[in-house]
Amino acid sequence: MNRISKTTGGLLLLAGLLACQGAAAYQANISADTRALYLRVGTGSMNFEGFSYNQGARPINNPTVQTVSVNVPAAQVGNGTDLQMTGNGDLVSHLDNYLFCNPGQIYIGAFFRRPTNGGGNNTATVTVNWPGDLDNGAGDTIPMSQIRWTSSGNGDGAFQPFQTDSFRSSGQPIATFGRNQWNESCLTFFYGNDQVVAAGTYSQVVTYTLSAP
Amino acid sequence: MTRLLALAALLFALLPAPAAAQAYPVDDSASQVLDGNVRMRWDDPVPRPGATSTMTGRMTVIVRLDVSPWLGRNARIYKKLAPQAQAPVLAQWTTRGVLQPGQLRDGERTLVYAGPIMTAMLEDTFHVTLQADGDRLPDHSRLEFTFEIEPESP
Repeated sequence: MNRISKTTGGLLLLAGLLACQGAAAYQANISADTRALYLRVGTGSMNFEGFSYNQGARPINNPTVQTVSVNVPAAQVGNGTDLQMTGNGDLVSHLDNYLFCNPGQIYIGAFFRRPTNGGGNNTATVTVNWPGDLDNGAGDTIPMSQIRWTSSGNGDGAFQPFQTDSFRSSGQPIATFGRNQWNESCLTFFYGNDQVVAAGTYSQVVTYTLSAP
Repeated sequence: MTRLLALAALLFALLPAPAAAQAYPVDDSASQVLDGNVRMRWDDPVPRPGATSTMTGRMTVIVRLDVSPWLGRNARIYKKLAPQAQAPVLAQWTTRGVLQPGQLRDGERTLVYAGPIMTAMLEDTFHVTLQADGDRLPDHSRLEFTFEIEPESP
């Protein structure tokens, strides 16, 4: 019995030696691609004008500030009836040049690229900031909360990544979304027209900011 | 009758299973990775609705397999990729013809050679394309490729 055990042990040892003989492996260190952020409000630019992502074009910076405006007839000032505002800017999605928005709407689109789970925080946020109320330069103001918007998109369902809201407080988030997702909506703005104000042109600049972990 | 069945079952269990070819690791320490730090790139610069966000990277490897212990024998050689914990990886490669082109996923093996071992060293150049799910790929990770041989009984 002892003899058999020894013989078996010897065979196992031989097999072990064979398994270890010259074992090696070639290795590759791989590193994930970088993060990326994309935010477009209104008109954006691609490096090949008129071409989309699908056609190989890539976005480039565009500092254009879009304008959203409405003229309030004197007889209607402060009557409480919302007035639709008109925006300018490009209406097509740069993903595929699809006519996503209708004239008068403001296109907004964003995504962030991130390869890993990021420690559990994978949510990006778009916020809006403005320095104060609408004003006419003569000391008269209109609260920014008098402006609201609805959200839609041609060919889309009811859900929009940028949801219907109003300018409630500067710094408010208007959209949150996960990494590696394409998000776009078309905003239609309305002026509440709830107060009687002095004649003039009231304006303010709103800044949209995309923040990602 | 019950006892007879039990005995039959026992005998059946004691029958040796069909012999599977034994696999041995192949010494590929002479292999040379020409660009071992692979930068993976998003396959698509934008995330698309319903599409997986994959990344792809490429590298070239001069594969040198020391098969001298099995010289003169018929054998099958397999390439293996160690399992990846976080992101599945698909490796595809082309060769110059000594070894077979192919593909494999991490945790799997695939045949790269079948036939007689006529030389002590099998050498080929692999142009490897790596693809991974960019949603799950860590910032940095390491892939480990090995080879194993199953010689036929002499």
